[in-house]
Amino acid sequence: MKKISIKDDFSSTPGARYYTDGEFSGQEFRDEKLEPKFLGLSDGEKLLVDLDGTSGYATSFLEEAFGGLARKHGSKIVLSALNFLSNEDPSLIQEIESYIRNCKTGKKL
Amino acid sequence: MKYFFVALFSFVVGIVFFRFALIAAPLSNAFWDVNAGQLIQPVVTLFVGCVFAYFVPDLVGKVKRRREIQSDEINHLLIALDEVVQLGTDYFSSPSKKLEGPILASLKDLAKKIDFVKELHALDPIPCLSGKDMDLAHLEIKILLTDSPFGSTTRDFSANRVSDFSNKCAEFRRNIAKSRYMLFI
Repeated sequence: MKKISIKDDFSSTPGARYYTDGEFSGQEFRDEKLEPKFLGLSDGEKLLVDLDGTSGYATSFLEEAFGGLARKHGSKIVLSALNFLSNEDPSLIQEIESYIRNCKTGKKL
Repeated sequence: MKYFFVALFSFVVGIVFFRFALIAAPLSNAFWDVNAGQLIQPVVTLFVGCVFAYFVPDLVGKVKRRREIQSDEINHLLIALDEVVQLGTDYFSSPSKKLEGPILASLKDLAKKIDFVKELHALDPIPCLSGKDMDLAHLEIKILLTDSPFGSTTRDFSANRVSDFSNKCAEFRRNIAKSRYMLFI
């Protein structure tokens, strides 16, 4: 299983949605960290996303990073390829999964 | 257990003493003509009394202490929610990059407090409280506050969104405060 830690591999202070919103946006994380790792997975291999250690996440960051990945590659594939670790805030996992599931509609809940 | 024996001893001594005092004469043989039922009944009554006197206050004390701990943690949750409300209100009235970090940190802190109250709720149910409803309220508040245009250069929030945020926070606060109140009813 491959692993990506948002705090160690990206930033401890993730930002908002787009590059234009400033540093460490969800779009930047998706394009430069998440998607390359996701595309490098072999058949059946999983990617563990460690969400702990940051100062918190904006909805816009999470939706753009994970919902955006699902919009490009399909929610079923993304859901089956990603595992999440969040000891500090377990509710984040459900939140991200809902963004991946509802990525087409843009519905948040 | 020692309380029981002390009480039993006092009881027996008391009976014998009063028998002597009232009769003021050597005990007649009739004094000892007591059937088993007459002896067992007061002993059982005394035993039940001791159990109630010793164990019930202990039990009630433990329940009360658990309720106080739950109440304290709910209070911490309310303080965390107030922090989110304050920062959110400031941000909507005057959006600035400086407030974004503290807002995300306060939402994370609120999520942690909700998790802990949910753990306490699982151990000892808190009246009128639902973990699922708390998670949903947290998520709704978080979306209203931190979805786009949060963090963008325009930060142009609609009036509806500001009022939804305020209403959702007030509703969440009311439900939590109600659960805290119900702890002591």
